[in-house]
Amino acid sequence: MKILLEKELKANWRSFRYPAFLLVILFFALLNPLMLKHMNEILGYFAVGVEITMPEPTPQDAFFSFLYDVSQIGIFVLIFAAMGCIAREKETGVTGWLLSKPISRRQYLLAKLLSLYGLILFGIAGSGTIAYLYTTSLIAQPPLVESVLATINLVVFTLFIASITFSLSALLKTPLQAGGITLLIFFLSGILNMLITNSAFADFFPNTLLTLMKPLLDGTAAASASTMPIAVTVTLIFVLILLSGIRFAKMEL
Amino acid sequence: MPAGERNKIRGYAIEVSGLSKSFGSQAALSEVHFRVQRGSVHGFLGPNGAGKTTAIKIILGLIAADSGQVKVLGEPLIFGRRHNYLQYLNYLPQDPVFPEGLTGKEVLFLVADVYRIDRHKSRLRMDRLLEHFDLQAAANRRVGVYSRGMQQRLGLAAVLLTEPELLILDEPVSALDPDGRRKVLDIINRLKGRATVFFSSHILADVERVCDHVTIINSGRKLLDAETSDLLARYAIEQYIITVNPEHLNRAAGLIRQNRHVRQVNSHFNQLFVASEPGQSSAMAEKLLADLVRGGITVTEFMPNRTNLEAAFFRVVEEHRPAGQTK
Repeated sequence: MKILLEKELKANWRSFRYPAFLLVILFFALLNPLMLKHMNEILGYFAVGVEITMPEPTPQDAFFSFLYDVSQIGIFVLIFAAMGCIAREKETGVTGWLLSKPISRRQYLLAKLLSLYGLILFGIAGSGTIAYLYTTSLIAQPPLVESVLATINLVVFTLFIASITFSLSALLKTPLQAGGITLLIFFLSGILNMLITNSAFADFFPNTLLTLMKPLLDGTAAASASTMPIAVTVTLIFVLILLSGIRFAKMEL
Repeated sequence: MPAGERNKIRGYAIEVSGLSKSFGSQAALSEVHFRVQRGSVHGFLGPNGAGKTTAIKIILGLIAADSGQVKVLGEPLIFGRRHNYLQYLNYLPQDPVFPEGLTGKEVLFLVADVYRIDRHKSRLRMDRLLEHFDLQAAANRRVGVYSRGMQQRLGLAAVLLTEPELLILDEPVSALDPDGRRKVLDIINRLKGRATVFFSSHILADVERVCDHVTIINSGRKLLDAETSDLLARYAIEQYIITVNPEHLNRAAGLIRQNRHVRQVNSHFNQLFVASEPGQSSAMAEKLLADLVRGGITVTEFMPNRTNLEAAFFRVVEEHRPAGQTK
């Protein structure tokens, strides 16, 4: 397992897929607190002669804007980084070459999954910490527990989208198919989320995790509000991985 | 049991019986049977699209057979299960590809680690193999920039690195230059008796040079399974080359045509190429020489034109061509 994990990290690092995701979310971690802090000056540059006064940015706003950008553009980049994780190797024949050796299909999938989840956990935790500290130094300290809870929501949702990408990459023939369908699901789920936000279904919909990020940060939602969406999303992740693993075990390569 | 000890086991390295596989309505393999003796070099021949790679992928557990049984190193193959025999087997695909971003050396380390070869031992073997395959200078370059020939050489190095009990090589020399081919064939020759080599090829001269057994398939059907020497003997072209005094050439051809075992006579300069009816070459030869001498023809050379595997291969394929099907 360690050998395969090492191979995964090397291949993804050198192909710039993992660094691309890390750089994008790091960029948001550094950009958002700075932008919010200097929003009035920035607007002054673009709107000469017009008096625009923005309310003083709160640390919650700054940290939320980081989380929000990661949940949109960060996830978009992640889909591109992960869409070929298996499909590309199946297409080129690397999967067949590796699995003709004493490597089980389960080990093969697990190494890929762990490296992808590792990237997400490490990336969001790292950039989240940077965003938090930078916000503290520029604006004020965001509430720690609430920031952690909102970040957990983001991590779980990102793992969910990554799991969809991963499963489709395992099941479909080309990276483009896997990436295309995941993007479609990502956009459609966003639209559906707007429709059901205030309904009873919201608790059972993964995108609710994103909706709850701001109320959690502001302290207008209790921590327990995320329990059901997290449980549902984690169950969906587990089912997705299990089903794709079962299908991959019988897949002809 | 260590690989060295396992090589002493008698029996078959691969046993395939009644193997069938279709892709949609296209039958890739139909009721294929063959066995590969341990310690032998077994050629797997067939034109492009014959079903060679499909059979190899089934043996490796990469694709499922529709029906039939496969045993590899004594272990029955069940698609979707993890097999112990993979620890003792190494495979070279027709167009080797390696995980992207890795260097040649890293690919070899990856293979060594997967087969749990001791680092010190693998380092020694690696240096030797990189040198043998002229890959030392490129060892630290990423495999993505390797030429097809370099990738094939690296693939062979990766196979030999693990000193497997069974080597499955799919067209192992197709991208190599003559020197590279010679080196690989020499290695395969040296492996005889120490490991089992099962390799597919369409370069028949190579197969003839190293294989002691061949299986020929075409359109998914096994046409023949025989010792190479038996195959050559059985499908000898049954042709004799007779060199005569140029002045006697036409008269000699006339005399030869009277022999009832003769199928065809062609002349080229002062040589006559005489083909017998199937299986009649000895009878033809016995009478022919006596008739020529009795007819006052000066015969300076009289010898069988030994066939090669290529000629035998085409005869086998021709013989098994379904009635009504043209070339």
